[in-house]
Amino acid sequence: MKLSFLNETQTVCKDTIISDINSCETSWLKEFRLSALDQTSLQPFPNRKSEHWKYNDISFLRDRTLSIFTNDVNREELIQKFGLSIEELNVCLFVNGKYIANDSSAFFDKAIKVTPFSAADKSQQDLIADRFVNANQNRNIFIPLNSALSQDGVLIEIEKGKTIERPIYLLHINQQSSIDSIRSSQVVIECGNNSQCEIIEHFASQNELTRKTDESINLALQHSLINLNKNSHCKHSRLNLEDDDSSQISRLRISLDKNSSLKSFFYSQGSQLSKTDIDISHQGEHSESQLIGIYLPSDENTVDYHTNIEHRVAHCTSREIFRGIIADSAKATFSGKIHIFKDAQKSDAQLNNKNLLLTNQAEINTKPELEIYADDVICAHGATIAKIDQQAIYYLQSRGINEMTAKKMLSVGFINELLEKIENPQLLAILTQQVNACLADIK
Amino acid sequence: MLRIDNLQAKVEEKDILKGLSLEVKPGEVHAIMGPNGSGKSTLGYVLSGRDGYQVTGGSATLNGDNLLDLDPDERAKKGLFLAFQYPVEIPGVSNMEFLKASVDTVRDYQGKPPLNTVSFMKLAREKCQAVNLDPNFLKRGVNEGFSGGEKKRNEIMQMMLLEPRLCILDETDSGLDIDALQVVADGVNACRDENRSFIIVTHYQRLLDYIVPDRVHVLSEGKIIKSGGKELALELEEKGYSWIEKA
Repeated sequence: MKLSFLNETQTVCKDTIISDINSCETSWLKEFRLSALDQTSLQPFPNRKSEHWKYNDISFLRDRTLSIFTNDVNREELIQKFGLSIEELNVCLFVNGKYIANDSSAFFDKAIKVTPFSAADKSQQDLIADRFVNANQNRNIFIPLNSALSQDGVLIEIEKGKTIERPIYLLHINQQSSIDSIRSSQVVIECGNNSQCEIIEHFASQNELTRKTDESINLALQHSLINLNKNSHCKHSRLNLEDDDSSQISRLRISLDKNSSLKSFFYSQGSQLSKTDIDISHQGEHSESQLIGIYLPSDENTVDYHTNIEHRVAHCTSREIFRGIIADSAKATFSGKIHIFKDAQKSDAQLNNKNLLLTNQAEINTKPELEIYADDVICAHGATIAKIDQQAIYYLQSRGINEMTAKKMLSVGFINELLEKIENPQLLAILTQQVNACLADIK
Repeated sequence: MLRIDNLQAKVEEKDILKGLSLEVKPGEVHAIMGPNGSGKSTLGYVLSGRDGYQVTGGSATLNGDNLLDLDPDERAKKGLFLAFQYPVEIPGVSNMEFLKASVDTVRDYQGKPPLNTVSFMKLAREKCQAVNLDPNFLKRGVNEGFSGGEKKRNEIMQMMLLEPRLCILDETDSGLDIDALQVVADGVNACRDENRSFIIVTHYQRLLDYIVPDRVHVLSEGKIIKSGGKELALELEEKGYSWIEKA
């Protein structure tokens, strides 16, 4: 099965996707995918003339033929390989976008129901369809393309009134292929009324199984839709820890109903292309969101976070802090928008982005943005770009600390405050280790 | 200990030090006084190796080692300490983490093993108390949100922890109230011994009531134009700098 990005006028070679969809055995899912495919035709292949893609050069995807990549895997083997403790986590495993089902239903907490789209009953089908309709599928071509390509998705439902003790851990392993390839996955999570849970989305590459050539493109599309129902509370994190030569275009949308709360954490070290669109939608009054993000691209990697926080109703609070350290010739883009709708009086929204450039070649494009249609709101936004403070380096040096260590201390110091906000101790330990390893070879 | 010979230095093409010579023997305390813009702070920066301060002539050695060829951290390891007039704030790096890294590096250079966290904490708390700083300061960012007086006391605390051979205090007394001045002076006096030397840069004679110097020098236009005993400071206080400059 081949999928071609040909040129600007003929973006996707449809027939190849259609034949894949036709092999789908679940009729509603087939319909769902076909309708998504229809939507792709409404969208042009993005180029840098559009604001959203201005700082992402995806022209390397053009004129390439991407195969839909699948591979047989052994679930237990992977779980062992990634050192996952199934006693401590509710593990959902995705390999090359495909959900690898559990053999044992006792695997998950009782209050969690995990259903592949292909096994969804009528009411679940309606729920899934409804979530996608509400998710602004038309934002860009990759969102409907993801749905069209994804052979199956997963619906995770958390029972109302329940507190899930073990984090729900979604591990997406993308195996690198020696040929140009694409994989896609989609997840819908429903947090029932009055429920509490922690969700960890982890994106990893696996290189051992196949030998990858430098030239091949390994593109992953990903789409997560999380719905927080009334008075539900969710801690969430999304960790992009893929290899440098992987590419990801992904989208996360979290919708908050009345009195619900979200604490979300993002981490990326970048890759050939690492683009995450984050949409947070406050749909119910008195809902609260907190987004914290750290990005540390180095070498020639890129990172792109596009965030959009919607205050659709009154009395909601949002906090967003992203910080990046850009090393070598890496490139980062941060776009943060707060959108206050007309009826969203008493909204309280704050957004802040700070960047540290370690070299003259490092690049950051940052754009904080407010769009406000209500008149009784508190909104603040700001962005800074700085180089490492030479006076601070000298101060540390004057106390015996060498320049390299001083730079490292200052860099870690720049993001320490954000790391400290991670509440899960295991997650904090993993990320502290990642950060230290990432900043270890600062020159 | 320290020998400076005909030292010349410039900052951004402007000559600041114009042939300064000074010798400080082990255990001595030297005070350097002088009007604004005479090069007092520059001397400290040049000796500690600050970027942008270019040496154009002369020499400076610490216990026989040529200081001017070394990176700032190497100079610190060899026992040079500069207490800054305006210590920088470094948010995100805790005082504790900073001090531990600093003490470990210097100890490592001296061939001593690093202190374990418990004994380091104990030592750091002790030194905090000695300069009347709340030990909770150790948890905060380096100098972050410290008052002027707290920053200066933090400098003295670092000096006590690092136990350097030569300490340069750059206007440590400026902006201090009388009580804080006493605390700083007590800290310095506690560190005085026959192997440790001090250069105290100050505008005012007042500090020298608390830290009694062996020698007093007057710096003007990049040179030492007069040297004397502690009574020179009193004379300066009375008559101002102009009587020497004119002479």
